[in-house]
Amino acid sequence: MAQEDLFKKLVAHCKEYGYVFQSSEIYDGLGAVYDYGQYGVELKNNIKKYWWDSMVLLHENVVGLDSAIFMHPTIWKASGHVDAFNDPLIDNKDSKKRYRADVLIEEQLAKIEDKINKEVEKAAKRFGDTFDEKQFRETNQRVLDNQKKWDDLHNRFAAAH
Amino acid sequence: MFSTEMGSTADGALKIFLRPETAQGIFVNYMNVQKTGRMKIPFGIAQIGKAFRNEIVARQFIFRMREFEQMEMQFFVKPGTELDWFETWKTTRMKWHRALGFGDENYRFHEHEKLAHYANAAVDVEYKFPFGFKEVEGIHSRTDFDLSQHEKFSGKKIRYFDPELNESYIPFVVETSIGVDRMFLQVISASYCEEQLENDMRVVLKIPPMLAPVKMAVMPLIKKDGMPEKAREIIDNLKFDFNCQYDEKDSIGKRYRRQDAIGTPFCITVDHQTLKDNTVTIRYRDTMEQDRVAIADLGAIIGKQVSYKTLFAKL
Repeated sequence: MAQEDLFKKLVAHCKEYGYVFQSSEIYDGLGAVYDYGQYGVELKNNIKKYWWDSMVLLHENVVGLDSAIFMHPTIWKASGHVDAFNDPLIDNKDSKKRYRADVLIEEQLAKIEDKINKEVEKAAKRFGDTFDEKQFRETNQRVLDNQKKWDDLHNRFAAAH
Repeated sequence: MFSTEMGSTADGALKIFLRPETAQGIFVNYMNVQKTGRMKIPFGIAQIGKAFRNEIVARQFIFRMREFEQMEMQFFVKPGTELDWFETWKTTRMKWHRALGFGDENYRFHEHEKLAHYANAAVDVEYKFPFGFKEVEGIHSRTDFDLSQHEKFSGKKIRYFDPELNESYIPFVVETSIGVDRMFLQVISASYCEEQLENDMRVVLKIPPMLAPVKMAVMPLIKKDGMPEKAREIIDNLKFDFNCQYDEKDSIGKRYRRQDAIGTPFCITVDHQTLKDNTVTIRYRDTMEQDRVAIADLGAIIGKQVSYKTLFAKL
């Protein structure tokens, strides 16, 4: 059986036999949220028991805890989950300056855009009333080269984001 | 991160978050647990709980969900010993997975080359899902990053006084973090089988008996002659020990198929002979073989198979 088919069958089986249902199904579902059915919840509890007992019962130096989902918001600053902390940073070892990678990329994209716009402005002056901006953008080699640079960088950035 | 507001908006509500990991709840309780539990380093704190992430790319069924459940254990150690503990937990956790018997070749470690800002070593346990090898668990040496950060932001000392060294330090942390939902998908993926029989096909979930949702189904061969009552009696005696199901509808063959499909490891049939000598047939899910056993022995036979002890013995 092809692996893709197998996965589809698994998903269908989980639904048909009360293991996993799509959340809010009668309202057409909610993205990437699922509910565990009558057998699913039993299996899930058994998995949790296997883990819990292997940690807390088998190791005398491991104890359990059940902390609240809501916590003081400063905790997420300390952990690095909020503010710029979580974004990749780049250090310039010579200047000792620190940069955010996403900001650097955005600045570079803006620079290329500026170059293109300047090229268009210059041409607009030169050709006067007869200037066709759309045609110029589609045919001028310098604009095309820069546009390609912009597209490439933007695609990589979008893919990494 | 998902956020919401706490308190009334009139007097300035506090923006709070739905935790994206359970780990921080452990770190901020480190001192409470260490002191009240008189814990000596090295020691660990384990927690199971929901976490929430607003995933951009959420797909592959329950593999990546916006609301999910984690089982995390943060192990606090003396600085400098963290990489040894990292190796120890790596081995321990791999054994835990392999004990389920889904095939050693279906697991592998994936070492992180790019480490997160808080880690000095990190490895994933990957399982071979139908869509390829994917992470089910992460083991990370988190250094003293988290506890130091909380010391800084809370202004409270988070230290351990080591009586052997006669000095205080911020412990280092080795974390094991596994997704319950991914583990669930691992069990289902490994257990799902389609089997061609002589003139039939069956779909069976070969879930390890200790994890199976229903352990035992009890079926009267026919709906009369006192068989249903006898079947109920068996369930009444064992329902405190095992999750039991009663089924009298359709032919025995169909009932077996239904139990196969939900992964019930044992089917017990009450027939005419049962009424004479108190024996039943026990049918095993994986082999489909049947034995005749005394009702009085059922508890012991099934109890042995569904006990977690068989798994723990392999750890």
